[in-house]
Amino acid sequence: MNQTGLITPEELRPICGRACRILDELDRILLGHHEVHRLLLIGILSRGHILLEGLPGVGKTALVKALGSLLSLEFKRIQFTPDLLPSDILGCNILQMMPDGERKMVFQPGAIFSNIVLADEINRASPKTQSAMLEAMQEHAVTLLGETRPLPEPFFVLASQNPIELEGTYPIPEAQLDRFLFKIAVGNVGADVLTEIISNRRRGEPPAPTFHVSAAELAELFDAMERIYLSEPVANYMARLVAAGHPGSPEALPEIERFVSFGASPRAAIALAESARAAALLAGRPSVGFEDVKSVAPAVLNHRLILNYQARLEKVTSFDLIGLLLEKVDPAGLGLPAGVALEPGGAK
Amino acid sequence: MKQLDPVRRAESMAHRLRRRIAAALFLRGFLRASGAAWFAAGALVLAVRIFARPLPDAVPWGIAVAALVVSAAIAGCSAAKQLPGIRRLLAWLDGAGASGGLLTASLEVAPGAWRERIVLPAMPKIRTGGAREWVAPAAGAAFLAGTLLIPQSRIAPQEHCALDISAETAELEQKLEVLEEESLMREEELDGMHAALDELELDNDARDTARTYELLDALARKVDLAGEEAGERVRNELETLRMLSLALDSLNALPLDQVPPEAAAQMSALLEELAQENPELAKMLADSGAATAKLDPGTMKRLAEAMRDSSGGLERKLAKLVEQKLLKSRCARPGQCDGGDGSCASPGSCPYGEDLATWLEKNAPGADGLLAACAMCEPRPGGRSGAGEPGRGRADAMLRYIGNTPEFSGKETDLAVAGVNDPAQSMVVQRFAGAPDVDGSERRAAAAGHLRGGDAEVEQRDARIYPEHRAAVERYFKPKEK
Repeated sequence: MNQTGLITPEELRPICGRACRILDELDRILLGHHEVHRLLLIGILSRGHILLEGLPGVGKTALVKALGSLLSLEFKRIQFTPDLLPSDILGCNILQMMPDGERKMVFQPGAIFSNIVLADEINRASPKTQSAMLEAMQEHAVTLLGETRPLPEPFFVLASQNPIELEGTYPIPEAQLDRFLFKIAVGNVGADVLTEIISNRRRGEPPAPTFHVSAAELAELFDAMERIYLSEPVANYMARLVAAGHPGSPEALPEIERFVSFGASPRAAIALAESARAAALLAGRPSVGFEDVKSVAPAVLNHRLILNYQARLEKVTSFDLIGLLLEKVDPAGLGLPAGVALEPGGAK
Repeated sequence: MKQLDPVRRAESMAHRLRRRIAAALFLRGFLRASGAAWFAAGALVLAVRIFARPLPDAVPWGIAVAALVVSAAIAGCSAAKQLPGIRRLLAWLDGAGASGGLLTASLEVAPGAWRERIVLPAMPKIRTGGAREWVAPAAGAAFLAGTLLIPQSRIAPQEHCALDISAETAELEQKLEVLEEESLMREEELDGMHAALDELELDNDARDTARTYELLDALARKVDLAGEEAGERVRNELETLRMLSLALDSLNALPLDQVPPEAAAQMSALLEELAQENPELAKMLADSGAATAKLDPGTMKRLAEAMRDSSGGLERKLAKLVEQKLLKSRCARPGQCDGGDGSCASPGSCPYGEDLATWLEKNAPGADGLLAACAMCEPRPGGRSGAGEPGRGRADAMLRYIGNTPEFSGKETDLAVAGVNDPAQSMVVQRFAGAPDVDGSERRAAAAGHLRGGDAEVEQRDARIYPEHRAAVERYFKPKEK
């Protein structure tokens, strides 16, 4: 039994090492996207679904494939198109003749029955098809013809969407967006990274993973996540951070009042807590710190702040507002009056 | 040396930091509250010094101290309300030290081996508004100091400064009191004068002394004039009563068979006529029944006595008026019998008017019977006690002389010489009355200091300016040019 209440350094060290190794391997496979890889790994450790947004060809699919391969998880890809039907994702019952000659309706699982599902260009499918993902993402189960079938664990949806070519697309509704733990922007890489890709990778093929994490090792990672301690001051900071993003709340900043229509839901606070735990684990700490919260807050909140037309007009992004929240909301919640502040290291 | 537990050190540091924050918050709150408090106190001190004079010098300083105390109280309450708790400060130290939540977690669970990983930052510096925070309180304090230290003359130069006219107003008050007590003025006039006096005291302004004294003089003149008029009325009443009593005494002194029959009736008519103007006299007549009945010796005697008694009351009124300087002399004819200080040299002996005959001619024209009766009678010796003058006879004695003197063997008369010493053309400037010095005994007795009174006869002489001397007199009194 753990007497201290915190996971011991000895217990945490191999787990943290394993997580860091996964991260290093991802960095090796896909060049120039360390922060994306870190957030992706945090999302996986938090058991959350992730929406990757980026232009075609930046390595979204390759990243997901590499992750599936590393974690020894079953990986399936669904290319979302306007004519894609829910049954194409979830599966359907097919009348089938049995060996004994009897005909029965047999369930044929869809592509969603997998550990990692890559929903490629998810915004190209119709809302009906998109909403078919809702139950699966939230309940980790599929109900078809009145019969609920659980999905394999762990279950992750890693969706991607193209921010351009919006013609013929269906923007993901807020209800579905909220179910994604992170929305990560996958950007372009620099010239030096491109040079390395061109020089060292034939036809751009990423290298195969050098190691794989077994299901037991992955379970250990998930178990360690449960033992990362979240103290009350840090939890309070997360709560105040989310509340400050709600226009009309007492903690709301003037900029939030001006540019935000709807703030983040309580699910966002839960997601923040989970992802902060994963960030602490990845950093090798037994407890969540303020900096862990700050490191994951943009990815958690950026797709949950619904901006108004004024924000679009003034080209204010959700990342700008999150940066403002992180700057203005005092982590410790000292509640000092305006004009009074503590400057670190100012006095002996 | 054993290293102190990091959590303990963090708690100690948090306590020290909390004290520093409390001091900073108190100072900041005090500066903000005092900025307003000094200005408010300064304004209050200014108002008090301008409008609430006189007041003790401690009051403005008390206001300043009260402002100080209120500012401190507000700052204390504000600081206590805004002061963060220890847990919050530990959370801040956790974040500043980049302990990754270990410090905050260690407050809730045992940190175990992670204790060593707790990193404490240096004691933070507390940043406040800086010099800007001092501007308002410094300005307020300067304003308050100014209101406290500036001389009173600069603050309230328009302060009312009155002349000390208390003695004059007190004198006027006394005069008005006498006039009121003796019912010598109408109530409305008295009220008007009292109001004028009050107004004068209110308008008394040392910066306009001329106006103040002019007002005072005007009021004093008005009061004196009222006193003079009242005194004149009293004097007239007194003269009337005395003359009437003389006439009554004269009639009463004659034997009944010598009194002309119409004299009593004329006397009665005169009394009734005068009673219409003199309520006092009317009352006497009513009391004696003389107004309706024919005057008999007894009634006349009672009336004369009553008139003499009433004269005493009028003399007291006159004495009060003289005492208050409302009247120069209480004598009927000032200058004839003044004692110098306004009193009568011999109150009972003043000759009231030219004589009774003159008075009767003036007040009862056509009453020849009465005039003849009074002329016939001899005033009785003595008269009322204390009213006579030794050596000069009774004050109310008729100025007549019958008999011879050593220098002039016949009745004294003015001899008219044509163009010279014509009495008809002359002017009487002085009239003398004295006992005839038959054998020089009067002169010798007077020289020895012995006065003789009683029934002595009186000699009258006039000093006249005759026409031939008038030019010389005018030249004498004509102002000489330099």
